[in-house]
Amino acid sequence: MDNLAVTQEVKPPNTKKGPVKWLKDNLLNTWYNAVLTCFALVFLFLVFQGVFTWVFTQAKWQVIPAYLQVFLTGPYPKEQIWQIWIVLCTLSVLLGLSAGIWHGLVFKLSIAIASIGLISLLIPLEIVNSIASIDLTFLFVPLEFVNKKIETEPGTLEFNLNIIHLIFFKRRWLLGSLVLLVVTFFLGRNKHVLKQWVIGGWILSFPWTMIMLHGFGENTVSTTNWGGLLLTLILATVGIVACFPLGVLLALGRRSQLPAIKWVSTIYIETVRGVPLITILFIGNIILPIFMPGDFQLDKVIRAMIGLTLFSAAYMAENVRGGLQAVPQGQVEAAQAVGLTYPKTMLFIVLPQALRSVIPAIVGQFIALFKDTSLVYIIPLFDLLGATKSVLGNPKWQGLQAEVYLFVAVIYFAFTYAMSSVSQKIEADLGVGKH
Amino acid sequence: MTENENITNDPIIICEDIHKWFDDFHVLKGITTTFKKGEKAVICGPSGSGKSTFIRTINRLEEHQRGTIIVDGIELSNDLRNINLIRQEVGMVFQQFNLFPHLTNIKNITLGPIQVRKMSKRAAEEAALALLERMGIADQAYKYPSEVSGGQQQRVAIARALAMEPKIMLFDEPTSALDPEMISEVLDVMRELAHSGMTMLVVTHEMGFAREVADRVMFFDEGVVVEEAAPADFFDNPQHDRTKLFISQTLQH
Repeated sequence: MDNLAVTQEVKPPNTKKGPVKWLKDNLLNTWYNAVLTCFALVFLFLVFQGVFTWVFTQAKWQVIPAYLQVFLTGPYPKEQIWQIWIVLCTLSVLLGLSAGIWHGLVFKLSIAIASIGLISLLIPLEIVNSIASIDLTFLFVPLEFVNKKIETEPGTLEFNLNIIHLIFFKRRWLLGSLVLLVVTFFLGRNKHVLKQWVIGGWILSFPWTMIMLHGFGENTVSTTNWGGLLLTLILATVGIVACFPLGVLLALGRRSQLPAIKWVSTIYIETVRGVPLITILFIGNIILPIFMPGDFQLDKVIRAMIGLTLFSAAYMAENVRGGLQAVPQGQVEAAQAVGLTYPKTMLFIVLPQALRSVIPAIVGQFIALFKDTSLVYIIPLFDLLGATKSVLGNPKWQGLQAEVYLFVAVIYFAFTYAMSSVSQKIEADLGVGKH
Repeated sequence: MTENENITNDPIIICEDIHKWFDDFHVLKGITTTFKKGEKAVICGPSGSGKSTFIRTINRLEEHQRGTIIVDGIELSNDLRNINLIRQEVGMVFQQFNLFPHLTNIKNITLGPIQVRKMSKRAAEEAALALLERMGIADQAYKYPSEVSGGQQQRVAIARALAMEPKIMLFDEPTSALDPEMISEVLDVMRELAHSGMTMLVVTHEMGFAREVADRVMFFDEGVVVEEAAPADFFDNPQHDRTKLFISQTLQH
């Protein structure tokens, strides 16, 4: 009865490793690897020592809080900042409701956004600024808090009062947005009847944002005064949201059996891909207005949006086409055999499979678009990078380039990294590569 | 041979002089035949003989270039509405299953009824579960196709076709991509379906199935129907040399 013994459960060999074993296996397994490891350690130590010394003792970070408003909103007038906050409050409400209704990814995303908001709320930037050793008033900083220095020591009653004043008064809008986010999350929890309303709200949030930022009557803010991170985010969001459907249509068009549609799509894609973005922005800004009838002038920001969208759609189309080619013909046949029409076959069968196989390429395209928005400085518009440049363009601030550009780089990185991780979560949720 | 009590005299598919070319290659060279309501026809022949192409013309997965096909009283033409009407009445099962990998098994089945037949989601799901029960795989409803065996996938595919409540079922080599031990579970389901009175056109190499279930066996070679007969005559008393050779080759193993 040897067979019985064979069927007994045999445990797999123990492959768990402790940290010491890991070190031995991976870093010190031969004498030359041990030498390389030592060199690498010395190298890393020197690099980090340099970076840390600069970041913590030499860099003049005071410029960041002093110019925070310029980085975030560019030349947007200070008196109208509340219009931006109204928009952010609206988006908080929508995000809170969505997180409550859909859970999952939206919920994780709102947690991340809420955490960033909470940290921003609690960091006493102004106080850091005032207790810093360098007197910043020589910068003629256009923000009131530098003129009104808060000379308090941490731990005292006055310091605490200042914190309270800071959070509940000076940052009341940020506090309000966070409270709205949390409250609407609890209001929206499992209210599936609200689904359509929230989707409608998201769609309407775009014109609402445009109207609120622009304002009306005496509160009008010309779009040439939109800037900073605000403008970067608007351009990127509009570009991403608009280029996606356009790209899908172009991709389907290029594979169409109708010659007219096929050739129009192909010519469009190849032409636009053959032209640098900067040229398209120039054409939109300088050449297009010449052909516009009469006094009609398309807004500069809108022209930039159109340019970015049209440019990005061509690349998007090719990404999507790659995905379409990966869907076997049998899938289309099976859908047709069930009686699905062409649009429904595409919508329910082909596109879901095509798109999920090219998520990495599409997100790469989105990230590129996000960073490409910085090219609008040639129009000129003062997006995050443009606003930064305009600050540094003043000879008085020379020598602070490193701090400012590093800060801007961190902002760009934060947003692109967020896009990347969201896409990886989406892939995991969809079970890409599994079924 | 079994006498089919379900077969009627009403024609449901009428094919007249069907021709089809792939570029210069003449795949179908004038097929003329009529299938009756409730009839089970098994189509066999060597690969490249046009048998798959023939059944694919019946639901317009392939366009015929000459001749007429009338399915359930509707003539197949370039009119998209007619094509879609016919496709609703004709279910198809593929060699490679062609299940939708991004949808669960039950959603594979309910998609057609919901989107094409405008059935409510709930009614479609109930019907789908009943079909899966009939296929013997009710417990696989909420898995993805990649998570079940080949035989189970093909049964989901059959359920998907049946969910549209078609009048005709086309099978294009339904067991050719299956491991041997899974062939019988699919054939059992097809046998059961045959007894329920469904009109079936089956392209297959399963000669045992043909002998047992078919009312008529059609032998295709080089784009023409070389011979067609009831299974007893076809297998025991073939008329043409080509048929004799084919039968001797397929029955050898």
